[in-house]
Amino acid sequence: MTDNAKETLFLDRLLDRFDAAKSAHEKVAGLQSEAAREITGKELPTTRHEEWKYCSLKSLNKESFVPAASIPSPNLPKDAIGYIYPEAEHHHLTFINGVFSEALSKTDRLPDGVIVANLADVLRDGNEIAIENLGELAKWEDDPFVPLNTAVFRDGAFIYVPKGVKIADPIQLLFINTEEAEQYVMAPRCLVVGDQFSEMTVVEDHIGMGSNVYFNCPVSEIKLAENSHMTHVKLQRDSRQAYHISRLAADISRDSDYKSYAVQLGSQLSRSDVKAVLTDENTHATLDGLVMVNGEQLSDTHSVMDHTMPNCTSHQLHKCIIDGNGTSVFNGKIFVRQDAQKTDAFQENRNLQLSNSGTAYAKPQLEIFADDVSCSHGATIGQLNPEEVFYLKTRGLQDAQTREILTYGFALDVIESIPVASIQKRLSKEVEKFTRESKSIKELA
Amino acid sequence: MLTIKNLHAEVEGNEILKGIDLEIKAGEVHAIMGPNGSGKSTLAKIVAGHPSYEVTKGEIIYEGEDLAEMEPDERARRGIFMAFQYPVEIPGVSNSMLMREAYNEIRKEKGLDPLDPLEFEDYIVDKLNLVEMDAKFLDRNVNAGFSGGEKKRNEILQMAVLNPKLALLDETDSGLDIDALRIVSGGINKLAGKDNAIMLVTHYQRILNYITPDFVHVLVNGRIQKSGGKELALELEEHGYEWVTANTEVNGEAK
Repeated sequence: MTDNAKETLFLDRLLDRFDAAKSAHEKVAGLQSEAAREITGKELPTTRHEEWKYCSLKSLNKESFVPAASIPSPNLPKDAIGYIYPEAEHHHLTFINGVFSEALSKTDRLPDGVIVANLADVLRDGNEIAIENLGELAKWEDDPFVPLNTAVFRDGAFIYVPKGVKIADPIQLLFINTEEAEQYVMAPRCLVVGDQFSEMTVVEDHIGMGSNVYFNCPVSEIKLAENSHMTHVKLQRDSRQAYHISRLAADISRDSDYKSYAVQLGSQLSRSDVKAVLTDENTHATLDGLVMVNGEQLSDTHSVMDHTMPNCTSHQLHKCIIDGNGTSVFNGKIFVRQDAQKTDAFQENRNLQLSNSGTAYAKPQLEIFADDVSCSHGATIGQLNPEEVFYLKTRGLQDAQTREILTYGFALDVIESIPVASIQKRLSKEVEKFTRESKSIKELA
Repeated sequence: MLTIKNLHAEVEGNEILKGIDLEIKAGEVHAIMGPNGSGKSTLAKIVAGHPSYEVTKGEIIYEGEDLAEMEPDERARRGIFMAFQYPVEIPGVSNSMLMREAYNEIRKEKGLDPLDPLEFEDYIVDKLNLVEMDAKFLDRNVNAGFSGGEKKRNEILQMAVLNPKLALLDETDSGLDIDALRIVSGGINKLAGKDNAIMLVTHYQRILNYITPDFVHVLVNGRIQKSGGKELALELEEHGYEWVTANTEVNGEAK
């Protein structure tokens, strides 16, 4: 490969734009250098790669981005504070284009010992728990996006809940991505550590303010010690022209419980790779998802549920609603390792097609090496049930209302599982918006 | 109110209705009886506008208008209502919300202002009493977790709320125990009046002990083989549907 060709590689171009300075902490700096080396000279995966078969990065490859932090004064909306859920009024961190905003963050009323802070500050101050765990969960194997985030990240969230502490109200991590003339890239990093017998709910909310092109590449790492409980809600409402490529890795210890609800609504291309490792006995993991795509949107979820020890349970209900020329991809792997006897794993991917031109790819995969387990998996692709449509229409409801009601009904069990009332409300509005928007897109076509 | 002329209809290439003629006037109750598979439910669904059935010949005129090109929701807004044999469960929508939306659609059609939730709550009280339903059913999702009898009562509740001109009741009596049958029939009787009409599709004579039809039509193999007054139902009860089939064969008519 000539130097000339190398210069044109997307990842090299991107790395080059960022300030080469690494973290002040030696271990973190080492990790960052290692990550940068990992992707230097590497090409983005193509659709020839099995894991990227239906998710082409061709258009991303052609884009150029400046680091979001270099935009001097972002077009911050006046009502930014309005994106804070009332339940999270007293503990939220806000990031504008990935940059921590102290003015829009609040962390009063946290129990003693709880840390909810900007990751950059925590690492600078040498917090041992953060330094010890950072990079230990999100591994990169042959994926370029974890090392990309690792090499360039600055700000992000660090949450630590000490032993026996229970936080009833959700902690919100609000990522506001503004409308700018320049195309920008950000790589926010989140690290959540729950100590023994801790309990928390974390809401990660990515919102695009405009319809501009930007590249959001977040990585989240979750580590739960014995007997801890965490609910993790992620809402991706990035701009319809944005790229959102995210990674989530969770390690769940003995007697612990991790529940993740990921909702993907925005972006022209959203790709989410999620990995939950049940590292010890009697743990539970939920990885539920709700995806809505229309227009030319593509949303791809790749998940790994890794059962390594006996007597664990997992639940994965992944629902996709596809309209217009939208595409949804689901590739869910469940591993049941040899020691993981008495595993009870449930996985279901349901796709609702609202148009004739949308596409759904479903690939549930089960690899079982133990012999005494109960595992179920399945995938369905279907339209609105014509009998239900007829029923509502005989009550005088018009097509648009009927579609809206039945689409909401399809999404409902995922929405209802999310234990934050104002998010449930928000999502019912999003479903309404989606079905109306889809209609107007159709009328334009 | 409703005139059906030489109606032929098919589903997936199978002809179900083979020439139906029927005239229903305001104030009348018509019972459509017949054995399983005779096409009686199909007739109700076609009048309501079910998209799976294709009308291949004939016409349905409602209030002077041909229904052929009319969507089911438009028919509903013009006063046609169908109580389903198997009411559908709709998750995520409360019973009261569905009924309010539906009722407001009809009000809109009549140029009236929509009712807000509180006004609707007042409006529905009497209707609940009519079918002896507890107000708690209003907050539950439409038919979700309802027993068979509750679902049927809920259909009649919706009928009471929407106050249709033409009600198509598709085997509303099937699967009901005696008490539920009495309540449902009582509700229907109170809703019947000189300005509206009811087409009651039923397999059994039993419901006709409670609701007195003005006409009884016996549908066999896609045709009305016999029409008469309420006494026809009793004859059928006594002799069975074979009696009608046998008679028609004697008359040399094709089945």
